[in-house]
Amino acid sequence: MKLYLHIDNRLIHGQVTVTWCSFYGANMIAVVNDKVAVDPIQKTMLPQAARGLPTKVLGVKEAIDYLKTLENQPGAALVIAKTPQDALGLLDGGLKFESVNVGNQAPVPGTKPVMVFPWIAATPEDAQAYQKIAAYGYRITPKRTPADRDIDLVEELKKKKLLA
Amino acid sequence: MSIWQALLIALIGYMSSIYSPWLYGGLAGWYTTGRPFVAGMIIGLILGDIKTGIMMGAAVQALYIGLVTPGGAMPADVNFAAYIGIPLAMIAGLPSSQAVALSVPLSFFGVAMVYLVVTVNSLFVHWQDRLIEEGKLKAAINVPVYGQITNFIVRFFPIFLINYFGAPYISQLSNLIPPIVQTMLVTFGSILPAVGFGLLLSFIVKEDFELLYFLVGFALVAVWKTSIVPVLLIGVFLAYLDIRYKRAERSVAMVTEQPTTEGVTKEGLLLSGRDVRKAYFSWMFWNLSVQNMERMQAPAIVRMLGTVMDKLYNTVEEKKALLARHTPFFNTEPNIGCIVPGVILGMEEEKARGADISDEIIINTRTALMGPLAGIGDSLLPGTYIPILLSIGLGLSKDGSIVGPLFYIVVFLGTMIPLTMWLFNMGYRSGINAVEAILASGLKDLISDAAAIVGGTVVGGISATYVAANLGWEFKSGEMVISLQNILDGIFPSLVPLLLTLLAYYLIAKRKSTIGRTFFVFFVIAVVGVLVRFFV
Repeated sequence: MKLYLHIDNRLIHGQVTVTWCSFYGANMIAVVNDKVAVDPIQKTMLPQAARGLPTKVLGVKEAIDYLKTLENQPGAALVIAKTPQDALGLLDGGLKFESVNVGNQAPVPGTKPVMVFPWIAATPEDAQAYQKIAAYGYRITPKRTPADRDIDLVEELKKKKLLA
Repeated sequence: MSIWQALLIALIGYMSSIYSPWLYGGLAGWYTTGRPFVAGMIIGLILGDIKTGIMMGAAVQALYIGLVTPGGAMPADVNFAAYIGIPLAMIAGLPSSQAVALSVPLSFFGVAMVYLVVTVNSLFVHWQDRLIEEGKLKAAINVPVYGQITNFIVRFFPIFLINYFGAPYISQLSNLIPPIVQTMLVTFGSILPAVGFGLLLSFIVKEDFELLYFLVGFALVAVWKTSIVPVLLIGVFLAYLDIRYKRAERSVAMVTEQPTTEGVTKEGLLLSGRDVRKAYFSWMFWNLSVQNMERMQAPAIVRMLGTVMDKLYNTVEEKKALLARHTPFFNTEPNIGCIVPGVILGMEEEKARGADISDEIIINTRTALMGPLAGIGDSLLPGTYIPILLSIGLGLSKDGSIVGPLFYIVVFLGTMIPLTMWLFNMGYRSGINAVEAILASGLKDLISDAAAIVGGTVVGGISATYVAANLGWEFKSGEMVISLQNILDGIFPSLVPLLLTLLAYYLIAKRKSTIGRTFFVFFVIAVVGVLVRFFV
């Protein structure tokens, strides 16, 4: 299966169901975050929101094992990581993706993030994670929908002085 | 255009824009008078020619029928397209296809305004934070009201000024355009609705074979000249067959669970029926009023809880804490998703009554529900229900009849107002169980599947009505002149519009083309087609 990585702390929502699923031709969705995977509400709600696509809600470790079993199957999977750290975990676990995109990263209460774009907040820790993701050879784009402008997120993080 | 006409159009145009609260929030505004089709009727009424207004509105609507604007990401804005494009085209006496061509640049201008508003509005969010901290709670909950000023400025003034001062020039301008460019613009406007229908199809059609429903609808209208109501009936019949056939495999999922109301006793409730209604209206009207990129609809949740905070708590400190914990990011589809503010209201009341509910549980529930409901709401409402109703309306109004817009207004508001009231109350009374019960019932998937079939059929029917192409090529053999149009009509009437709609679908669904790029491809087709006299 082709895997597309989408980093979005709103997980499955309108932009995902209306645009990304059909854009990637996804046959399934995997939501990845350790906390979400053990939250009973989100575990029942998220598959219901996916417009009929089979949906898994997994912790990072589980996700690595599960997604590896899909390697030789046909089709495409949309992998939604809640945070850049989750995304990095997947890459550290040896997964390969067709592309890496950041959808929404709303500010997390209690942190002091910089708004890189009006829809993407990033702390210095987040910026480090993005840089490590980029170091795996990916160009990270900050698109909410496929029609958004094609920009390199890491360059923007440098402009905002979050990265040297 | 008189100054009064321009003012009236600007006022209604502003009230119909996406972030305006005044007409039942988005329900009667953005999703009703904000639709170019309904706007055409209103503008026609103001300018004294309803029929022309409706025909222009219908043409512009056809182009934007598949436009869904999830989470404030907006590819094209129909507000200026309708409230500037239609009046100017009417004043200049342009054909409706030129109104469509005119609406394209205006829609991009509108998008710029949307981004301006959601950026500037972040200021109001921080102001609300400060007001809550300082204990100025009345002022804090009125932030969505004050914040409406930015939306008013970027909508009312451009619409008024361009209509009032632009009207005298637009007719002169259109006289200056050479005939061949006029033909290009007319052709562009006539084939452009194919992009709207292609976009809608790319969303409705989950598997390629479902395009057959579209073809059936198209053939019914193009070949047998069926009107839209029989097309709709045939679509419903096909959907019925499909569901009946699939029911066996579904039966397990179809067991409807009744939401449990256990543990909710009427006694000791802090909120009266009237308070809950007040909260409902507060949410429905103000949900997008200070839409901003940073927190989205959070200020509206604060306002909703603020309208009932005096019933929940006595001390200022408690009220401050109540409002403060709802300032973080919140965003959902506000209408179907109004069940979420309902759940929040119910939980806050329980907490105020002394139940052991931590702040964290409330915020987690809010966060857990908002995304899924946005996903479901966006795909069911602007993605399915609204375009299908509009399609039926367009079919009813192909000669400029007033029946189409009236049908849309009555059916849309007649279903959505009771539905949102019911959903909000369900959320309030039964909490998270209500959401799970509704979702687990399988009803949503049933509606979504049926809508795909009915929608596909109806969209086929109106594509045959609203995508047009006049072909120019003729072949002479001796005395006889055979036109390409006649040959193609002999094979399949409206074959070129059909192929254009499928092309738009192919570009958007298979080649992942953006709307802007697809517009451009059709522009090139129109220009080249006219230059080689394929289109006339």
